[in-house]
Amino acid sequence: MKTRLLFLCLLTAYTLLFTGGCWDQGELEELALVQAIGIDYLPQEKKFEVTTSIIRPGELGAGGMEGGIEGDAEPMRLITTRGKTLSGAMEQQNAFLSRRAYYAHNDVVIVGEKLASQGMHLILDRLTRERDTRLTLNVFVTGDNVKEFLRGGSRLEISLPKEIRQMKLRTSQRSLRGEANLLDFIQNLLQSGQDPYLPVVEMREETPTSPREAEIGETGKDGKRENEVNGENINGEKEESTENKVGYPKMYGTAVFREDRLAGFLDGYETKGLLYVEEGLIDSRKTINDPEGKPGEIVLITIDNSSRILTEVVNGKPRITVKIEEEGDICCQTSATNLFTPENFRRMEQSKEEVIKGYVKDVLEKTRKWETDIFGFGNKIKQNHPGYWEDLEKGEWREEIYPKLEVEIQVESNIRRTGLIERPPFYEYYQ
Amino acid sequence: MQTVKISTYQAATLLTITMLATSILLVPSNVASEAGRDAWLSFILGTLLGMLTALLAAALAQKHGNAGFHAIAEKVMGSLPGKLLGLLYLAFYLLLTASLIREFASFMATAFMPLTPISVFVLLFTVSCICTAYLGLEVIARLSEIVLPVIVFFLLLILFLQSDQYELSALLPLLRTPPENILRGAFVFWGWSGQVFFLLLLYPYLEKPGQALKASLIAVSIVGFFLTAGAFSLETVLQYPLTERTVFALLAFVRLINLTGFLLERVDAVVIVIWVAGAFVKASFMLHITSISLAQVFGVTESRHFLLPLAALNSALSIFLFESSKELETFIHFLWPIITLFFLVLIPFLLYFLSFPASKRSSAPGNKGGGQQ
Repeated sequence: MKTRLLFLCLLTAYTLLFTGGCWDQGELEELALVQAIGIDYLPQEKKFEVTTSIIRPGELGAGGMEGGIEGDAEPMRLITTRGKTLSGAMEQQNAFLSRRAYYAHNDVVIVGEKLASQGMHLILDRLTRERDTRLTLNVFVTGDNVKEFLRGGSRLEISLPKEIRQMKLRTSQRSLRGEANLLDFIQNLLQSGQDPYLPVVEMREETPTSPREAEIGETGKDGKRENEVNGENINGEKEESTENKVGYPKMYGTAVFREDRLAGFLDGYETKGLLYVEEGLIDSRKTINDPEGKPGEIVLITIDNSSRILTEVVNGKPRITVKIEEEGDICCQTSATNLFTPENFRRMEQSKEEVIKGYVKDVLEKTRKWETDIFGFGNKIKQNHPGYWEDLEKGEWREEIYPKLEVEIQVESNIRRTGLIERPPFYEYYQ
Repeated sequence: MQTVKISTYQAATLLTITMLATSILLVPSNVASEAGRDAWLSFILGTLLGMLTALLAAALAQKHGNAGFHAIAEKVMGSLPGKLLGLLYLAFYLLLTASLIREFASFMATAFMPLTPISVFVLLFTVSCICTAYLGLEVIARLSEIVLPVIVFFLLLILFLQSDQYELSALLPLLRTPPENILRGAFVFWGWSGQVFFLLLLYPYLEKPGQALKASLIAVSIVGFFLTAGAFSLETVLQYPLTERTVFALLAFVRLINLTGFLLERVDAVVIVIWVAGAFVKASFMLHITSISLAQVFGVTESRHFLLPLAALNSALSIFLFESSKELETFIHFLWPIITLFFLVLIPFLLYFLSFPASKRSSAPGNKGGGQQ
């Protein structure tokens, strides 16, 4: 019995060896939880500039217990460092930290335009090799200054990183930005015959949403206030007035890459063309003219869309047919037409198809100019006609074939429902 | 002494873990670097090769009245050459166990605990294995009976959790990899599916030796299913060029699990469960096999005394054999299949071939080979 007890004690002690974490043990209070990383490249100095947004431990957790965050306490702290490589710049961060920088709970990476134009290869390896970052990381491109961007505030969530994360997660409404994370980016990059893209975030400076805060921020009396309203600045008061302004994030548009270098931006409307082909579109609205030509417009909403890319190679020339099926409802009407007739339905469906075709064609033209195949037509050709693909030379697809590729866009569009009313409430009034 | 008996089911679970434990994590990326998009085909071929190995092993054992491998070797080749061959095999077991322990330590250090010296993993792991191996084959077999369902459950779970991400078009273009590359991929997997050979060492302990072949074929099929399904999932979720570039493809796959944002993510620990449990059973089994083979070769009755020195040797070897993870990877990818081919296929086949005339002779008394046993 005694030996048994001794054995159990030994076993327990031995198990503790395993479960303690050995040299790698880490306690939560020893970690600085990074919530967002902003990376940009300084071409003159050939250096990376890394900005991390770190939770201030006292501010976030205490919120529930002590009755909310105090007025001016910032939930996040920013640290900006520079280095010759991304890893090197990240190491510099330690000089400013009382805790170990912990990147495993970060899933927002903001990449500056300059870095994206230099090439994402500069950072892709660091983001995939080390075990503290995941391939599900959300990567965004911004045209703004990355450091300034992360300094921005949040509207609905507790902090900017959280707000960006929530914006990305909000899948119920996505029609204005490209949908891609790090994994999608790398996969699209690795597939020959496909170019990657990433969603875009930008900052819009506004006075904070609460008017009370805006007034508290104002130091001067009447004169200064007038100046600010008129947008004039006298005697260096510009600093004061911009201090009142806070940048708020906006997720809008798509950054298109040629291989791993930024080729250009698509705005929200152009992005729809990409999303119709990628089947990523949800809750998108588009405006068409009145089917009977009366003044006013009709807005239609897309509920569901699917697409197929068909390929064929005829006489050594590839041809692409994009088949888009879309269906949706009427969601708004400003013209006084009775839409509830079969002819008008057909007409509306036709004009909707034209609008969708227009979206796709716009993107196609742009990407042809940039020589980047973000739709992955080349990839589809490779999958369906591998023999043809293997005969192509490197870069031939992107530079010679894609810009002149024959692409037919077929849209089949349906309007399923009209919402809660059949005719507008003002129908009789305008007859 | 040989009152130890294990059931057919236990033999199947033990063999399954022996093959599945390390291969599921290490092999997919190696096979993908050979066979590319068509890695799944390599795994199917590798499974078939494993089945052939099982058939060979069972045929060899049945020819010699369900004896163990070392007894067969001594019977067929004569006492001294048989013992020398046994020694060669002991070196092989040592190599296998040492590389297994190193794989375990290397995985833990790479993926989860980079700051911890690998000697710590090696030591803690080996000590646990000694304890298990000391308790004998029955305990190891029962352990495998408990552990295998856990491994299978978690494997099915991770395949299921990613099922909405499968993109079948990523498998296209189909079969554009040169056939020799697909065969090379199958050959790499054979390094594991061929380990069904250890059935030959289990034969003397089986309750129903007649069902051994069935057990081993089931084991190979289960392993083949999971590796093929795994390759299929990796090709459709992680996709080809990326699978090849990862060190632990399954880990990369699990790290992608992200159900609806933050409902279920960061389930990496599942891989640790699969890996640690599997590697632990396998290493205990291997340690046990090495000790009983050593006892048999030298005619010692108590094999347990060998456990401690063998474990010490294994731990030391596991650290000294490989300088870096690159060497380990090269060993697994290029060297191991050849070693497997030699030890698990060629020599058993040779013994089988030799045993045709020998079986006639052995029926006569006073024969040199059979007489001394």
